[in-house]
Amino acid sequence: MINLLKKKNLWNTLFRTLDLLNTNKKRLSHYNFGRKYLGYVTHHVGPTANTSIQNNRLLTVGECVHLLTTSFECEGVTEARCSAEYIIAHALGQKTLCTVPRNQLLIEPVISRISHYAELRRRKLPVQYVIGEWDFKDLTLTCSPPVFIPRPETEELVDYALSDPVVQEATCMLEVGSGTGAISIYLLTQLPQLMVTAVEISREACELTSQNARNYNLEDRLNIINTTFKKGISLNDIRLEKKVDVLISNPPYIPHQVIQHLQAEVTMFEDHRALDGGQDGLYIIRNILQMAAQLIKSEGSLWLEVDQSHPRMIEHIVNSVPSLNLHYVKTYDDFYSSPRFCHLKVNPEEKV
Amino acid sequence: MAGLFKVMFLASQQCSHRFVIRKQIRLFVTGQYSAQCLIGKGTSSVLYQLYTGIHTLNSQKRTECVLPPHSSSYYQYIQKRCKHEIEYPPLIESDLEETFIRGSGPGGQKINKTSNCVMLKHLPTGIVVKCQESRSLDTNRVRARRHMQERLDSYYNGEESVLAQEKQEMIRKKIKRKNVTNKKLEKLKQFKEREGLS
Repeated sequence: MINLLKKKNLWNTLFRTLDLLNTNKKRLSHYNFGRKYLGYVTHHVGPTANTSIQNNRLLTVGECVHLLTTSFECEGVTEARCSAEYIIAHALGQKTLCTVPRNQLLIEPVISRISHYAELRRRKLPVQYVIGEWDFKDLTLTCSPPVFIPRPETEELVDYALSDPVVQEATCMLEVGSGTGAISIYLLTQLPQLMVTAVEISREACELTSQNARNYNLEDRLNIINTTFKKGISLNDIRLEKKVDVLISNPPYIPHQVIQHLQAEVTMFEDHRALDGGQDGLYIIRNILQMAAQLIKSEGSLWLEVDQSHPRMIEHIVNSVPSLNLHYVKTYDDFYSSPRFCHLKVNPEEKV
Repeated sequence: MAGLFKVMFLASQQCSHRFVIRKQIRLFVTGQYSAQCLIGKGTSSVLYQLYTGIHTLNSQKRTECVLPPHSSSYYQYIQKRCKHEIEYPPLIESDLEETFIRGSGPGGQKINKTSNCVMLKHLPTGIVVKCQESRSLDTNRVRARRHMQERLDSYYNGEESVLAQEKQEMIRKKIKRKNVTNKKLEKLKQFKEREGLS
């Protein structure tokens, strides 16, 4: 009898979250920065619906994926199936479900973990924040709200940057806006002679970058400075003695008015300081271009990930303002073949 | 293959050794043929892995023995085949059509998608490969290409492809294990009968 009760309890906890018949569309208030990100989102779990499954059989992975997916679809969560799979895999201590047999039975601690994650995911929290980590190339980085989640495009940026001979031989690099630290940490693992200084406006991101660097034992080669990258920033401000070889950045580049119309996951949970690029999305990029020649040594490289409309504008700016002392090398396309990565170089010093 | 064995046989005769061919294989796609041979007598025999000369992919059947006869460098031997020596057929990027399940649209910071499934199609053969093994899109793209190479290897090389060889090896080991167990059971049965236990 006790066993049966226990099983029933288990089903209740599960179906509170897998509540299929609950069709009330949850309305989400707009997320406002400065307020607490999770507590603010109004969300009520509807009355526990009659669970249609009566038998006391334990749930398998495959069934759980199906149930969660349906549940997410009812809630209007984007990428329902993917989210369900990643959540279940993480609860099982795996990265993906590729290595898990579909008929494996789920046991209690795993089910309650899944219910907890599913609850967060239904509130539109991005999967990366729900499970608290994400992969960047072969690294696994800790992610926590509201720090910007590294995108797959950035993986390409570091690939292109690594093909640049200046980067390969660089000993000193500056990153503007490190976020989780993905770019810096990956380049540090690839280039043993490299020292990186990361400038980051958000305190949470600074902490996260240093935590991720600690996980890979790279903290002694990575300096993180919590400051704003503004015009007139000097080498002194970022505790550098000489000019750097390379500046790499994935700056905020989304135009201010577009941000409101993006996915709920992005607008509500990610730090707008990592997304908002001002009126035309070029605000921070202009700052970087202006300061580049003061921070990068002659013939050093500048690598940027930008919006697909930006490369032409950047090329235009660089060509029309010779005082920037830069020249445009090449635009690289991302995997959707839209122009995304800019390679610029500082002009060589004129010999007198 | 014959060339190689002949040379080996001659060599072993010259030093009055026993020469037993244990198995012969085409070494993955490096194009070399190899044979495991036992040379010597009893406990002093040595297992050699012999290689013929390099073959091109398209002329698998041609045997070309570059081992010079009647010299001390008859046999190169390697204790173990190394897996990283595998060479797959080359993959030409322009032959591939890559699609992402996440769909197209604005990428970059504007969107946060987690579906990282990569689908590769090899246009000349029509082989389709899907990869969703990792949470990183880039890793999936690399792995999808590796899977494609494996599939192409099976497609072009059939029985002699890496996968087929590994499969055969597995089956062989399984049979061997089964034989061992059978023998043990047999012994046990005999023992029981002898002692009158059953």
